[in-house]
Amino acid sequence: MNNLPEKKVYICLPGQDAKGLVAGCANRVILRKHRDVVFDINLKQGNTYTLRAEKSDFYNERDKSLVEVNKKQKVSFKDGERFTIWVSREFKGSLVLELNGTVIGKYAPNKLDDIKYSDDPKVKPEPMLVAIGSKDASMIKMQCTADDPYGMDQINKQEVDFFSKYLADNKMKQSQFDYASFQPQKTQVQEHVIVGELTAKELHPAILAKLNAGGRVSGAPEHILVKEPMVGSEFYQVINNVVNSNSFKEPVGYAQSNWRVFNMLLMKMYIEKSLKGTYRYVLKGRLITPAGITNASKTIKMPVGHPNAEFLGGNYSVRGRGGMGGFKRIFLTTFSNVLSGLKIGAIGTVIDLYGDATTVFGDEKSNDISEFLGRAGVSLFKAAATALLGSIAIIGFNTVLASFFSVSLGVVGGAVVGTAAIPVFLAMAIVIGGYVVSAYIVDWADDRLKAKEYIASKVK
Amino acid sequence: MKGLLNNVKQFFSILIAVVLYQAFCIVGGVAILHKYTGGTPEFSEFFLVVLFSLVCISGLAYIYFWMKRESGAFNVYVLKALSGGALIFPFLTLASPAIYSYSSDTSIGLILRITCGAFLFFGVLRAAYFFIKNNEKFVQMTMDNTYNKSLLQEGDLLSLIPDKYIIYLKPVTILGPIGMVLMLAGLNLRNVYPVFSALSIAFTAFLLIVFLFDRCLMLIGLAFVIKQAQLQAGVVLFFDEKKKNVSKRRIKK
Repeated sequence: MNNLPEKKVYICLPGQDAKGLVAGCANRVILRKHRDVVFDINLKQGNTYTLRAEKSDFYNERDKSLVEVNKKQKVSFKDGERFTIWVSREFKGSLVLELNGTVIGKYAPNKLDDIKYSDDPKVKPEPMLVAIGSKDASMIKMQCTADDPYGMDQINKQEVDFFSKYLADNKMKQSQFDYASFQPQKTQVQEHVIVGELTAKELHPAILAKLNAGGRVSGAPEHILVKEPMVGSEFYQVINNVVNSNSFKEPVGYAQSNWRVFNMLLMKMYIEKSLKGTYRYVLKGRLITPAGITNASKTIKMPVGHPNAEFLGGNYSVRGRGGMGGFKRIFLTTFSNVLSGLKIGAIGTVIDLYGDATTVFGDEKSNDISEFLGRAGVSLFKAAATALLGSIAIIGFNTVLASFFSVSLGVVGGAVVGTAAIPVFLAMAIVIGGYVVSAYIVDWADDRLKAKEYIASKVK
Repeated sequence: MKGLLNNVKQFFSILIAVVLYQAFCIVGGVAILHKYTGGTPEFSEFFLVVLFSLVCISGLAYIYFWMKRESGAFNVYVLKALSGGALIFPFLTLASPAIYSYSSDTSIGLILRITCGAFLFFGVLRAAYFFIKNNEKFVQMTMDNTYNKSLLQEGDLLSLIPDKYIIYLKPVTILGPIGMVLMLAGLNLRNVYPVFSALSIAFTAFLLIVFLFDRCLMLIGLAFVIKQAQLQAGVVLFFDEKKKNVSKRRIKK
């Protein structure tokens, strides 16, 4: 028996027929190491998946049985179940995964891993994992920063988390590759592409003529489009969606008020006329903030009322001249406030009335209430007259003051000084000064006419 | 014809505005004089003539340069200087109560006059020294900054003035709000505490007079720089209207 020549016969899967046994030899059947194929499918609870092979047999680890192709055998497993099969290193064709008779996927292990393994039974082919699952897209929270304008960091991190769960599996640990410390390739956004259609109204006439002649145009959006998109038009929606999406929150105001500077956002537009007669466009490029282009922070001076500050709100559209910013607005606001009443003179009127009261009831020891009312009436009238004269003065001089300011303040306050404090101060001083002068004029008129004494003597 | 009509219309509107503006200041001044000196104002005839001619000359000059403001950079700068002067006028009126309530015989009155005069005198000296010293440099730089034969940027012209020269900026910025409060208090308390009122209004007015006067002198100096550059280059300089707001501050070493 010992003298018989030895004959080695290899099989790859348990239960396989050992082919090539020779009578009269010491036949040794050796089981080679197999390739593990793991299915982990999480699509819908209660689903039952069927697995069959096209040409070769495979071994069902769960049931400890060989699944033979010739007998048209199949195995089935449930959703969420971790199902492992063994395949040989000489596996031919594909594994077919089906759900209710519909093919979900075909996997050819020897094509996916095209290494030719030797006959050495100790060599273990690479394991294979088929994982199908779904994840909640809303869980992705993108955070856009200057370094990462598309917010891809968060997405990449979730990918790593997703894979590490599977790669920590025992079966996968048998691999010669170090999957556990494997990092999936980071997704990098190179360009944005927006595809859509435009109407003839939205296009520049010259571009339109070119397109109608059958040409194709490419260039910056501001050269192609005639004006801002009409509210409610398709292109408006597109721009709004892109600009208002979470990833581009930062430049929303900027782009809304300066959307024609899309070429500054590195976007390029390709446009052609379709057979239907519409104009198809492709917007392509990087849509990032101006600061993101240089990838460095940029300080922009934005005095109130300056066009740079436009995105802060539409309230500061009233502009002065020559970088004077809010001067004109403050002047006009003060003017309209003063016009509405006796705000500035109110305290003075109260003091005046108190003075009248002490004159009537204190100095002159009179109990005549009608005299006080007469004097008080004059005091109130004086206050009203002052406010009126001051207002008229400011209205009347509005033209000349405006001309003075527009000519002189450009230098007197603004350009050299470079601060808004001085012009504002000057405007306030002019307004209050006008009231002071008006008050003196009314006092003088009162003294001249002796209205107070006259009315007091009349009512006594 | 239409252009002439527009010119006439413009002329009368600016004339009426200037006359109204000056009349308001003069009537206010008379009212203040009446209140603080008591009784009827006693003008000497000489004083009246001088005041009237000054008002007329400055008003006519203002109107003249206003009409010619588009025909050259020099006219624009003279107009700016006149505007600054016109802005000083109401503040002088506002400061007058303090001057009337303390005559030059009293020590406070003397201090007030000397302080004000010293500031103004110092301003004139400073401006004269600065512009005479740097005259050649400024004219040369202005000629260098001229492009397209006769175009000049206002920012380039203003960049001749170093930041160091503008010395009243910080005091006015800091004291401005205080001045505003004092002015309002003075307006309301003018019958109860006339002296406090007069002084508090005069404080603010004085602050602005010094500031505006300094700036006027600077504008006059720049106007003469333009004039000299025009004479040397033999062309009339214009401001580039398109680049009006561009302020190019050059770094000086």
